Amino acid sequence: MKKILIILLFLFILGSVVVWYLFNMEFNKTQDLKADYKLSAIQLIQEFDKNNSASNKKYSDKIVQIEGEVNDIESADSSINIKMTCPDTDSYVIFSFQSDNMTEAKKIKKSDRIIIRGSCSGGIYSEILEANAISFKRCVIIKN
Amino acid sequence: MKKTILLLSIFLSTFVGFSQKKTTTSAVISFDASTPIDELPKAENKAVIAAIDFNKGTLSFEAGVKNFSFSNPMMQDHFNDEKWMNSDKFPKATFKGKLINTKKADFSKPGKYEVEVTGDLTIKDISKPVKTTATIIIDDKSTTANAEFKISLADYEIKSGAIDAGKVDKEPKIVVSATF
Repeated sequence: MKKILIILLFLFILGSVVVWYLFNMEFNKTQDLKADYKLSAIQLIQEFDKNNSASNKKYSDKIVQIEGEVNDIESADSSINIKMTCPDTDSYVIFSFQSDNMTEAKKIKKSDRIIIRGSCSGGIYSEILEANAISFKRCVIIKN
Repeated sequence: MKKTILLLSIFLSTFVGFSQKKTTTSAVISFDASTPIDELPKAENKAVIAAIDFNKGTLSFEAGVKNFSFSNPMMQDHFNDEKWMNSDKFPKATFKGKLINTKKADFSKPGKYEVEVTGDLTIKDISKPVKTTATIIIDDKSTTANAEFKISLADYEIKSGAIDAGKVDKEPKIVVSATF
């Protein structure tokens, strides 16, 4: 009887620790993560324009490092998004930031050539814009 | 003569500016399904595509499902998996709506206007009607549209033990904000 109680108590404590861990998990900082892919914004856009579905399989949920020229900086509530657009197709890559990386992001100006790393959310074809929209979240500026 | 041309061009540019469809790629949609026993199921997407056209009286959104950002990685995985949003198969959520009861609103002038919006919200290829009130604020620099409404997860065939256990709100609140 005593043995069973000890086993049950052990399982309860183990279960609680696992649940506590899962609910308090946080994303690793993007700057500490190794990029799965490194390429230019234009190269990434061209891949999505050529084959959206295959590109989504390749890049979605991956850490991707992008190099390119900033074409637009847009306000999104109190934060900003950085955008790089392909002039030929109007398809674009857009980068969003968490609050802890916002200070660096706000220093970026239009036409700056930057290197940026983030978690790729994949691309959708926009019927509104008639272009591919590739989005990134939890981004960090690697080089300005 | 010069004055007339100048006035005419100002008038035309104002008219063209007003009549054009306005778009943004940085609209924000937040999703809050938190409950008193679990505050984690909430997320935000800050790169939503939106368009407003006062001439046609239309308002539309397109959001990449995978771009909803959660604070907790486990929640984000659940949100995207097959039982929930199945974002690999259905990567996009859309809203196509109409602005109604706009007779009192003069969108060519700066001001704050309350309008009704009705339309279809499509998630996982399932379209359900949505009706809400939107606040449209027009100033010299921009036009902002804000709206808030609730959806039923069951409408979009989202079922889970976490919903039954009260950890996820059956009717999450959706808040939309777009600055054009």
